Amino acid sequence: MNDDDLKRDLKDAYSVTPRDEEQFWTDFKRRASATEQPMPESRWQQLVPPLGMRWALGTVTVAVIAMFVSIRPHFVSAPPVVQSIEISQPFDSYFILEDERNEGTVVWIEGI
Amino acid sequence: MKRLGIALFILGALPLWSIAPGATLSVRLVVAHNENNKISKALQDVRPTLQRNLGYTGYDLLTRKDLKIPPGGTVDLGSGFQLKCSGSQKSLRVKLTRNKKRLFDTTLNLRKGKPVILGGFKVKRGRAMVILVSK
Repeated sequence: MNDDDLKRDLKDAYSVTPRDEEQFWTDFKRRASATEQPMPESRWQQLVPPLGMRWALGTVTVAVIAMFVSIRPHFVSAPPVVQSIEISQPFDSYFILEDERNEGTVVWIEGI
Repeated sequence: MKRLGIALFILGALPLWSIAPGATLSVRLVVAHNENNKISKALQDVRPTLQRNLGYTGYDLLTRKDLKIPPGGTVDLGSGFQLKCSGSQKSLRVKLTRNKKRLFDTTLNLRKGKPVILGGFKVKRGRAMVILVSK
């Protein structure tokens, strides 16, 4: 077998007949539709919770903030009862006493 | 956006709950003494505070007046004492005078039902005091 014979035999065995363009695309689309897959979700879509969960999160957030606003005074130390005092007469001494048990306040000025 | 609006409305309305529309200020002039151990019936609400913090055995109520705060006003308590107050319960300015001489000027943050005793002023029988209670 010489070179020419080999070339001819190879050509006969692996010859490719090019299809026309229209036939190619028709075939391609048919195969593509048969194996269609869902588009992957974007990163943002993956992070956003579903609608029901968004409602739940919103409601819980509002409830927690409302609770914090309404009960905050119980946790924050109350401002002092006596904000300021100015004694206008000569005096010996004075004291301000906040009675926690009876929740009363005494301002006592001696020597006036 | 609608939900956000509702949430903001609720949050905005919450502080309104804590705003008192107004209060009544009870003003009492009391003399503390050691002549006996009687305490006026009209002082029963402040009896624990008096007995726990002041070393007197008897407490006599001389005068009682009520004032709306705000706006406040001036009350004549007798025995030469006059009390002038202005502002609201949370920031009440109180001036006390005796025989037209100013004794002191103070600003108080009153809590409802919690008494504030301002006293120590020498009088014949003992010591005079003014008891303020916001109701």
